[in-house]
Amino acid sequence: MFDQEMKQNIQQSSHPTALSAEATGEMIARALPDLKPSISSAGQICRIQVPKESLVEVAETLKGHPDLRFTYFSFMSAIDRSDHFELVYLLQSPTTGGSVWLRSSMARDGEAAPTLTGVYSGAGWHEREAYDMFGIVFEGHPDLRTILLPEDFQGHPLRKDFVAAYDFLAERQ
Amino acid sequence: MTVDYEVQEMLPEPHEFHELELNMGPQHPSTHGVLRLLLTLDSEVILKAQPHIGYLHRSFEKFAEGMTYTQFLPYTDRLDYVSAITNEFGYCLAAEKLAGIEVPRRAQYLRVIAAELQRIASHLLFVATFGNDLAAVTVFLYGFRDRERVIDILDSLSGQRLTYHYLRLGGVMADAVPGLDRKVLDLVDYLIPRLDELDELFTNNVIFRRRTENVGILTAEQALDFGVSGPNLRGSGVAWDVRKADPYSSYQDFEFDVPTGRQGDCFDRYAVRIEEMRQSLRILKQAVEGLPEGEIRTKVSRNLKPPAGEAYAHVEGARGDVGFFLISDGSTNPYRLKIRGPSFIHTMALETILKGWKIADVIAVLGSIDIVLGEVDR
Amino acid sequence: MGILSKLPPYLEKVPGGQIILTSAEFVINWARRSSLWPMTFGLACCAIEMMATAASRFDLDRFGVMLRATPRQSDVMIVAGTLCTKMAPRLKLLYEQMPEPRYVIAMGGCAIDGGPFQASPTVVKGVDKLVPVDVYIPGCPPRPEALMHGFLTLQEKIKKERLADSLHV
Repeated sequence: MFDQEMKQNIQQSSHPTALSAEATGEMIARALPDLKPSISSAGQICRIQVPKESLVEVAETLKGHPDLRFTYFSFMSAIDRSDHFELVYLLQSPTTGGSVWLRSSMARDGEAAPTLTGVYSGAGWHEREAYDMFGIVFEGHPDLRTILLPEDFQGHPLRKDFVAAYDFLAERQ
Repeated sequence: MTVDYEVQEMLPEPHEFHELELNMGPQHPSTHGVLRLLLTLDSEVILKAQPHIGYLHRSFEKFAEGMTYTQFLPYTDRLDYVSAITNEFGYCLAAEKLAGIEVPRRAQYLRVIAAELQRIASHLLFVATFGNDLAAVTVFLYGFRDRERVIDILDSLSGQRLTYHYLRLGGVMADAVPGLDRKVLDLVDYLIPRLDELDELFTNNVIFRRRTENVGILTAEQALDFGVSGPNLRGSGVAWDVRKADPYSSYQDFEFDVPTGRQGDCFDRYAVRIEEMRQSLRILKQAVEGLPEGEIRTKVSRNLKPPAGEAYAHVEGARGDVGFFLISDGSTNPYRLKIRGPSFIHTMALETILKGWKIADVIAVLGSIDIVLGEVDR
Repeated sequence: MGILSKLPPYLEKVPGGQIILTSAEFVINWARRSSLWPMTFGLACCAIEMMATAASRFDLDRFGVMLRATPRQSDVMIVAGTLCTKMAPRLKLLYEQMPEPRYVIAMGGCAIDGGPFQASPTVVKGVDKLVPVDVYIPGCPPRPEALMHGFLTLQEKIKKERLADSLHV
């Protein structure tokens, strides 16, 4: 009984294969002509660089546009380039097979970034982690607090200028 | 002697509605590690389930910035420790993409053999702990008995039982032991009837069915929105397997199917994993019979200095899409390593899945989601 | 610990008391070491090896070891895995909830002194900074045979205990 049930659901040929970076770039350029998608150096994934303010708009279009359908939110992270932060989002499409990097930069201190939790619910914890590790504040995030580090931890570990505080448990009791 | 008692009707007193906050603390036999779930209950129904993580945060990403690519490789085993080979796989692919290293075909096939063996071992552990959580302790013992047979082969390949360090940059650590094909084919012949036995004992057990069918439903739309991957996503009906979508390391040479579920309940996620084990056995048979001759490792310097740039590689781990995003600035240490752990995302999705179910369902859902805290907390 | 800790100093001085003491110690130590119920404090990778040791092939039950999840019913706490600073207060709390006599086994490199993660600011460099450890089992992760050897070593340690100095901290 179980075998018959399972075998109905085995998919063979209907699995999409990955779209090449060039094809993804062309697809995006057709749908959103004013963005200029470029191809990433290694990793062969198409990338889009947008200013921080239009992140939410671009993400909504990428998700909702009938030709693009980037509905799979893979992950979000931040990189500390010494003079600014770079925000990185990886979006994939299980219908077309395409993947795209969504990149944006922001200043190291004083600026807040927009939250993508309204577009993709998967951005929630990734933004919390970026807040924890880098100190980036996301405006409009429903629940921005530390996630991986203890509550009383001082500093943001993944910043390049982070020096570990004195380990108070290092002394034997 | 009879005593007459006045039977008093116990009328329920009017009371105010109180929410009960129950802490399923970081030390709990069913949480598969140090996960804390703060449950807000209305009698037995869950109103809100908030996962708290970070009890195993070992700062892997910071470590990567402080050591060379080769030195960091053994650490990747400790991320998703139940399925260690797949983490090494992802990291090695990313570093090799970054530095432009080609892996010889024999090494690619050996990597596939190790990865599929690891997938079977991980799914057997899933079945064992799932059964243990649902109070079927026999399944725990049966699952581990079969897992030991799989671990034996990996032990003979790499010398270790859990954290193998078998894959190296440029290939694998050691060649196939003589008689590996015999061992693997014997394992395949041994496991296929065992999986059928498991179906009889456990899968078709009416108590198990009642506890897992139509419980903890995750729709395909929600799953994609969160970024859920692996058997959890396939249980919700989306056919997305990195081995087919973005083939790596000669997976395109093998013929295998991708099972999917129907509605995304606990039973679907469980059934997908059982079927995946059977498909892994298929791949193993093909890989071992078609193992090409050749080198097992390209020579890579210990202080590898890849050119400045970035690379992203993802593999289909036992738990989902494990991704490694490596950025190099031309020096011996990575500039930034971002690890995309699927269990992190699945724990995030727990909040949505658990709303509205009962306490007993929490255990079934947690077990079927199959998270490993090493990957969640990194 | 009541009468068992107050009586031995008096019994030692009474003629013939030592015989009673050693016979009692023999029986009590045999009972304690043959039925060690651990509380599983599985934190990370070593927890999988601990589960494997308790499972079919390396059966721990033949040593009298039955894994209990609650501290109230356990004799020994196996700390298997990396202890992080966020988890440390819970370890102390659970240790204090265990009834005496209680023992601690530090399993794996991370529990002994932080292991491969010593440089991390969120890792406690060894469980013995918080609780007294009786047996250290090195390895990353230690093989099930090593964990069994750890249990046997703990049993040897309990064999040599004397009622007169029953200072079970």
